[in-house]
Amino acid sequence: MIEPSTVARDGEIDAPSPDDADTGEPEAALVDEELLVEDVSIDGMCGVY
Amino acid sequence: MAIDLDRPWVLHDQVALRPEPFGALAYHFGTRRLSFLKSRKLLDVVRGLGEHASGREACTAAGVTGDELSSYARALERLVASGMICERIGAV
Repeated sequence: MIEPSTVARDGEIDAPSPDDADTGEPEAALVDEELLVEDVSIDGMCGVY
Repeated sequence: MAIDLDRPWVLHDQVALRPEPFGALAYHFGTRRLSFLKSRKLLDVVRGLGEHASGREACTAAGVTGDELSSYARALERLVASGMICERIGAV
């Protein structure tokens, strides 16, 4: 028998308050994980027209 | 090679910038190199290099925060290495 995992039992599941959603983490943290400049080699890919 | 952000920098004369939604394309007509600038803020930094006394000022003017500065410094280092930007000679 598979028991449902989303059954609320007497208010055990609390909806997050708006303050909880704001962790204060800057979105720019993602910038540290990737290079902002990507070099591309196009030699041989372009002709003279 | 680490970039000296306190020196003045400028976009190379032979480089064209093309703004894109993701940031910009930078094409060097001399070396035929193409680079993707993957943020609009970096585009603003590069565009502003020639107008500020130092790379650091250009970063600040573009809204680069202290936490982001190292990432942008690395980006500028790559642009120096590929010849897209160079040290500016003379006053602003």
